[in-house]
Amino acid sequence: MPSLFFAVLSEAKPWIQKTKAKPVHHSGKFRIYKNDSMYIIISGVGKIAMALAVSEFAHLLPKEERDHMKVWNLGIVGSNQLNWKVGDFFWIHKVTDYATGKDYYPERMTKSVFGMETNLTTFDRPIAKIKTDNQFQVLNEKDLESVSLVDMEGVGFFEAASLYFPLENISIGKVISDHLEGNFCKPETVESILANLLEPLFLEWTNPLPWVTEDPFETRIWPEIWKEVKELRLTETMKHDLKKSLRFYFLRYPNTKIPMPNLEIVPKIKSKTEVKSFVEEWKKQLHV
Amino acid sequence: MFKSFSHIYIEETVADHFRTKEILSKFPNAIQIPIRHYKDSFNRNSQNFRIQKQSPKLVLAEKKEHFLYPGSDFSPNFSHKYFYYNTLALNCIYDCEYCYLQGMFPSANLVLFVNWEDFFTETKKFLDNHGSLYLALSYDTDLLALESFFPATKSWIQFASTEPNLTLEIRTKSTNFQSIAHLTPNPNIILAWTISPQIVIDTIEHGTPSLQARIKTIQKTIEAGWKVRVCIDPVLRIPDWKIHYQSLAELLGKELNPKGITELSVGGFRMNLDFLKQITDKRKDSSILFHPFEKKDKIVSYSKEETEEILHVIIPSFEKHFDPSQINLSYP
Ligand code: SF4
Repeated sequence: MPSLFFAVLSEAKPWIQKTKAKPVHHSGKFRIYKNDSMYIIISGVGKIAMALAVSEFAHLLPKEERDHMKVWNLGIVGSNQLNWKVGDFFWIHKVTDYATGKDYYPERMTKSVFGMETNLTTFDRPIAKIKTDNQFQVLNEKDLESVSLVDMEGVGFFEAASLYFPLENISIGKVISDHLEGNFCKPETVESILANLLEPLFLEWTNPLPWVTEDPFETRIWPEIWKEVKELRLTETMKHDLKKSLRFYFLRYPNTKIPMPNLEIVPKIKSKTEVKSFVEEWKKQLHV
Repeated sequence: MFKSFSHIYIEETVADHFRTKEILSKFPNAIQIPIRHYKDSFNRNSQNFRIQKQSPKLVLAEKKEHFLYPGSDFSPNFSHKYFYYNTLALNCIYDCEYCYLQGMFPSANLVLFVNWEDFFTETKKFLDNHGSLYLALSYDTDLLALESFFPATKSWIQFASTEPNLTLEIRTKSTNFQSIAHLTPNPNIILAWTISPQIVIDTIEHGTPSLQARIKTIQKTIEAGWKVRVCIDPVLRIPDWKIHYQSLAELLGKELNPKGITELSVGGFRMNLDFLKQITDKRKDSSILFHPFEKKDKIVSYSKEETEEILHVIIPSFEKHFDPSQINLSYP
């Protein structure tokens, strides 16, 4: 089940409409939308709001679910490159926190129809190239040199997401909304920029992660066997060792039935010594 | 095995290095990402080695210290007083299920250090101070397999020709001998090939050259006058392992000139316990890793009986074709 983080509602709106996701009632501060197969989260502006939203969301899920979850941040950015157009979309392979100078590296693992990639710098305030009435932070020539795209959330998203989700599952994609002219984008403009990219991105977002595959031993074979021997009350170490031995046999002889002991005697086994020898005998059959 | 690299991370200090430029010119379509220090990317938490191995990235970096490491207890020192290894590269383009690198490194990306001259200088200093050095060159990687874009093996062979007290071991599974075939053989250099039965190559040593190709390369190397070590290491107790390793002995006896082999090195599977834990945590599809190993001093290996059985089978099979003095155990 993928999850998608936006800073503001106007960015998320086309996605919410497309997925018909409904608000989730939870005790937290951030808006979470959900349908049967996906989550959309709106954090509010700024890296701290984004980091908190990621962390709050992650705490609502068990680790197994997080491990299999694709987690994206999409949003608008300002561009320092005049030759890139409003509406151009980039995957981000490096995020810099302007305030601390720290770099982070979201690694691109899967292919995309969007072929352009660049780096992103996250600032604590809106950025402009020239002074305006809006009190944007004005960057000098030197600072601008190392800047390609600018936003206010990317770093907060990545730093928090990498604490809770496998790195390979995390992606940041940004679309250009302005060239640092010092004006706030109108919500309708933001909405339409995001809506233009929706279809191809939606396809990629809903594609399952190629490395999340079923482990039949874990999901099917072990639970079935465990059901039969649960009442032996094995110690954690014995359980772990038995599971390992069973997996060994399963991998080594994938087309053979796993040897099972006489399960009828299980209810009669009482003492620790009996349990031990029962398991040892079984393991001997598996270690061939 | 690999087609290309989609991304190349480049440390800022080596961005203008001539060797960086040479390597980059081999991958014109790769996206280049400037990076301050390779560890900023390579050592990140929560990376999954297995997933990254599906699409490994290249990292070009500068090695700033540790140009020589003392040899590990897992590796034979071949009776040399000063046994060291260096790491010109971290990780490998192949994907062997038993490879300890999966448990040792947090990332599957391939790091190449481009400042070889600093390695040469430090090695020379060591030789001046200690008089001799046995240096394993292809540790934590398969260096010869990278030769087409990272021709370090050639440079080290050339360096060794100027340092008579330096003995080099270059261990590989690759068939890239042609890339160094034009160099003059040096008796202080041992080219070592790891050999396994074809079934192991097919099912466990993913992406590596076939047995026939390796044997052919070894034979060419012998004919060219190089010292060759053949490593049957690790021996793996796969189903019907006896038959597979006995046929391997037959094949090597038939196809290689036994006199040309300096040494046959034999050893069963063994690994640092922590590495194995790391690996089995992420890789649950490899039966050889779930073997009921014996644990001793943080090392896992086959039990004493299993190890004895391995030697009992392997040694006589090889003794049919090779002189017993040629056969050595790579691990007690
Ligand atoms: S060739 Fe060696 S270094 Fe490379 S994956 Fe195989 S065991 Fe590891």
